[in-house]
Amino acid sequence: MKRALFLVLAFLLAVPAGGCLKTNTVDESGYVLAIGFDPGETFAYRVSFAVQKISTGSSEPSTDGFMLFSAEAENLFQAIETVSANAPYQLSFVRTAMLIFDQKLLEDAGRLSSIMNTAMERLRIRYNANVFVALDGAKKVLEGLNSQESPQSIDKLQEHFLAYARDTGMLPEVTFLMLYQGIRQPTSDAVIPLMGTNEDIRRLGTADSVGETDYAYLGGRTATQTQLQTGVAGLGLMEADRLVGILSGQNTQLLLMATGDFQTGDMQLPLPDGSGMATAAVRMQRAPKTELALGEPPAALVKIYLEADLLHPEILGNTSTDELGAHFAHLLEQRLQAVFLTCRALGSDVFGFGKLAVKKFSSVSEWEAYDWKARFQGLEARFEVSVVIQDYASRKLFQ
Amino acid sequence: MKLNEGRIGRQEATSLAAMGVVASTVFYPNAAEGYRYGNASYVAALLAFSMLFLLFFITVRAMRRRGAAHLGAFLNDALGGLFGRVAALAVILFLVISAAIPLIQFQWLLKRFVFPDNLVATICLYFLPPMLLLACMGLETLGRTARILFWLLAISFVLPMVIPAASYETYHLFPLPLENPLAIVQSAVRMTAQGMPAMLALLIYADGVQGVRNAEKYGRIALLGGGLLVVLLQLCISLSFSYSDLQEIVSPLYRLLMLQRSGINMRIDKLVLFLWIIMGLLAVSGYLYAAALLLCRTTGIGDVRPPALSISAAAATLALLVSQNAEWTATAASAVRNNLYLLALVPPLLAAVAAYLRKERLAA
Repeated sequence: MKRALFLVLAFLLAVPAGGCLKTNTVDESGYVLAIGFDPGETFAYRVSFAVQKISTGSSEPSTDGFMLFSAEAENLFQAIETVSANAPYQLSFVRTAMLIFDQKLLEDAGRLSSIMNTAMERLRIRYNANVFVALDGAKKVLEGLNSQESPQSIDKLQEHFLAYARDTGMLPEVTFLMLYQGIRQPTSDAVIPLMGTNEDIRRLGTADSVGETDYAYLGGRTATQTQLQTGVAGLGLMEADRLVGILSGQNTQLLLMATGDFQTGDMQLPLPDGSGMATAAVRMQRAPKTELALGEPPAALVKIYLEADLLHPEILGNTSTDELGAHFAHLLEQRLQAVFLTCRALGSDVFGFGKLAVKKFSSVSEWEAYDWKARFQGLEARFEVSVVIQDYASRKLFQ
Repeated sequence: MKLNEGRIGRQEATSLAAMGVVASTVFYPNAAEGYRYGNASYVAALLAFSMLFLLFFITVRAMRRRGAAHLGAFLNDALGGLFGRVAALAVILFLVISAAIPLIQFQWLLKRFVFPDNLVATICLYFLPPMLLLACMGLETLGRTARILFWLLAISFVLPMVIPAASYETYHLFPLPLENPLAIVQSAVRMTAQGMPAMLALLIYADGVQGVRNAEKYGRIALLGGGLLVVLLQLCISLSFSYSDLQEIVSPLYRLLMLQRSGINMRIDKLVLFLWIIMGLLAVSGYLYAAALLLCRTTGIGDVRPPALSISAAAATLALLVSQNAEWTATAASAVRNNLYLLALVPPLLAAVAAYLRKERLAA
């Protein structure tokens, strides 16, 4: 028994010992918190590294925003080598929380795959690092995150963006691994959340791939003034590993409702009599139900069940909540149809209909011969939305 | 003497055997061929453990029919002196190769995910010496250590099922792998062979667990528990990755731990890997001890420790050789891996058939 206990102790000692092959103090490494990829002018890429600033003035090192290094190179590893030659420490990627790709870079087929294949494991980047597509260049949005007045922690920004995604549904949550798997699988296509800067609103306009709207929420394209020059909202539509379009925050909400990833969010919808806009806090009543028939052409029916609270119920007037619910449902069905038709035209199955199609097959050869990507171009989808509006209008304050 | 290594009880023997079953079937090179016709690994695992259960039952019943106290005596009795020795040497060779396979996987996992800038030989210094020590210390130490660590190690296999639960998608199980049922059977036969070393080791030291009847009981429990865990793990892998991804992914089990989206589990994958290695070392040391014991009984060597040391060194050398990744070692490893099931299944099956053809002998 003593021998056994001795061995157990020896084994357990090996666990902490595994982390101490070489000792490093915290200021000997430059921790890269975010990496940005842009097309280069001289070489294939301009790679930007947001390196954590560590203050060692006191006995306890503390983080103090980040510095931006960048280099042009033919690939990521060459960029690391050239930057390292001019940095006072070795770059470490174990704390990388964000990867940002320029929109134009992703529009070229093969470039995202090429970057991800090399970066996946060699750099030991965490699989749950979040990925974004930058509307104005990755370096520029990183600069926008680096507020001079108030140094930002990338980790906290990442947490904030995730919370924003969950609370509003305007942004999908996509990790490095989800994107990597998403661009490779034949059953559906991936999405990437959008980031942009506030500088060029007028020049760039406010349209997404579905079309012009009064005020599309797109990363950075909002009339705001905050400490950050960079904002997030909307998503990029992928077709395999190529970016083919973008959706605004509002259309992102619709897409996430259809895929079941929407949790809660506010929506602005016109009243039935056209007298104004209603703001509703919308949440999923239950998971959406999708049926797919593989005819010629294939047809899908998506049933979405929502609950909503009117944030200003006094605007209801003589309209009943049932009437308003039916009106909202009809509007959402129309908008969902428009989003679907856009995605179909772009060849991007971000609704994930292919995930249902594959379930109809009992052999790999039949499924591969079916060629879902080609069939998706002819898919006809119908959306049925039910909206139950909570009747707060007739309640008093404490009811 | 050092052939009488003491006795272990139900919990110790079952823990050690279950660890062997799990280590040998889970830490095995990922066969792309197995996913060619769809995501069938969980079906193959279910079939494999049914076959393994049947094979173990046939062998144990044959041993009891002939009144053999352990596998060495059984092979000798059923196949005769010469063929019995040849069969015993085949089992020893199988156990050494079966010990080297998880070691290769651990070397690769450590190099790839934990210490990418270090040489395999350097990494091996951290975990091969305890294996040599354990194999020499014998059954009692192995059994008790396995018993003490059992629940901790069991948790390390439950975590990869729980952590990525949010990523499970049923569509990954499709298209159904019904196109080529023969391919599933072939995968199942290979997996049966992967689970064999734990069962053969248990039968080799059957006298150390108070007889073949007890070995049968403990083996059954280990197969049911370990088998259930392996089938569930394969199902979780199938729910997480598509068949096309699995043809390329190496070590899908480790990647399950990487599917976590956020939270406090950021580095739990590495801690779990160390626990897997501890479990693997216990299982592998058990095989090597059993191989040494069988060698002693076959050749008449009176002390199990020198053979245990040399056999362990042979397994470690084999693992290091394959990790050099030279062309000839890769070709040889692939050939061995493809035909290993013959070495696993033929000796016990031949002996069992011979035993059933011969007259029943009740007294040991």
